[in-house]
Amino acid sequence: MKKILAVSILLLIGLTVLAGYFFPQALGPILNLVIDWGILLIGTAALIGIGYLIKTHISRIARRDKQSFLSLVLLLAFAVTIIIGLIFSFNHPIFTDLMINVQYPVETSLLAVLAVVLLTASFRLISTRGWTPMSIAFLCSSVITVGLDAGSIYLGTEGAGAEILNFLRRLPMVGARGILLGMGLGGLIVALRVLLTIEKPYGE
Amino acid sequence: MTFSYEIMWIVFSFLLTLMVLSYLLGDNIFFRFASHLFIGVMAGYVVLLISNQILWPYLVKPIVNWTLPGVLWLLIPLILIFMLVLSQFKRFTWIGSLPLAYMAGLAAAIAVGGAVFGTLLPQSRAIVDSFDPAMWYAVPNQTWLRILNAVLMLVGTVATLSYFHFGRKRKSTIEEEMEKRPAILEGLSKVGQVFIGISLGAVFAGVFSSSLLALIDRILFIGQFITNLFRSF
Repeated sequence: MKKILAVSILLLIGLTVLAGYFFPQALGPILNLVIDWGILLIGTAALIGIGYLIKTHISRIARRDKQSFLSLVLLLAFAVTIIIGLIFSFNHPIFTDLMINVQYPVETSLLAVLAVVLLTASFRLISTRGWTPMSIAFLCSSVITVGLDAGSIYLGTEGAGAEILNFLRRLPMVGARGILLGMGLGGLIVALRVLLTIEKPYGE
Repeated sequence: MTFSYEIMWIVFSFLLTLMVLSYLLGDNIFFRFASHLFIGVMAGYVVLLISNQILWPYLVKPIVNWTLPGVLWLLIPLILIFMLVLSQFKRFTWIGSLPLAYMAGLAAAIAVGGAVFGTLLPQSRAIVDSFDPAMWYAVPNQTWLRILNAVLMLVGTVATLSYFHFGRKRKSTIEEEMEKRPAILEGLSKVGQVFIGISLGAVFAGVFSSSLLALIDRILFIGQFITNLFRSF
């Protein structure tokens, strides 16, 4: 009974949304309602996820784990953000200052760390995988793209040189198109498997 | 007052930057401190965002405004939310399959629409359009170049696609051998590897350039902070 109910809900919602693509005028209001309810559920699921994060860190402190003071830092940061957000509004300078002065330096610095990590990872890729057609293409393409972006590779604005430059700029699009089509086909297959109840991500 | 408030945030940003950049010397307590602080602030922000942008307008506001049809329509999502919350308790885990089935059905149907109308059709159309004779003859003396470009686009896309496997995982080695792909597909997939390498290389270069800019920005910030600090003494 429980399984039948879950499958019925999945099919009802899935087929309604799919039908909405073909009959947008007739099914528009129902589609909006179904999506609004979905947004509510996804929002609640995200809150439950954050609840789990908080619960895990509270239990780490309770167990007096090694470096549990880091959990305390996380909980304090969480509490301070919630309190400031509740007392002031989203647009209040104190709240925006808090967000900008934490988010911007941390995210930019993480991106900066990524520059060094990417460089070492690319060297490691060549040393562990060796010289395969893919790794050669990868290395040549990244060197040429950096050269093109920096303006180091310049073959003129007209004639054969410009055409070669255009060709070099367009070449990555060929593989990207294939990758996008592959991702689209893969996504379509997984979604159809869920809709045909071959895959059951909601549990048995 | 404003001056010291601004200074406080600049010092705070400087310390956070140093803590995160210290990861370059290896995983350490300062980096973990900064990452835990960041996760805590972001988790709080997400909670406030969900409450303000989702729960308030879609759930609380219609109840506060109280119209019978509006509240009746909310009964279904309220029941599903209740089930989702209840399923977090061990005794009622089974009850969570219903709201999860709702979300899975919605996500799968949206994914089908997104894949077909957002990716498969536009990308296939772009390849077909490159074989339009009107485009080949649009610029004189470049016809052969454009034909070559269209053929390369088609061959590259087919070769890249042939690199992907869309079948299920084989269970036994005998089954694997029985399901071996034709030699032409294997050959095409080798060509596809080169095209994938070229695309990933270009993406890598783009990400590397952005992250390098971020590194320069942080180094300039640290330099500026230290210069200002010495000037103030």
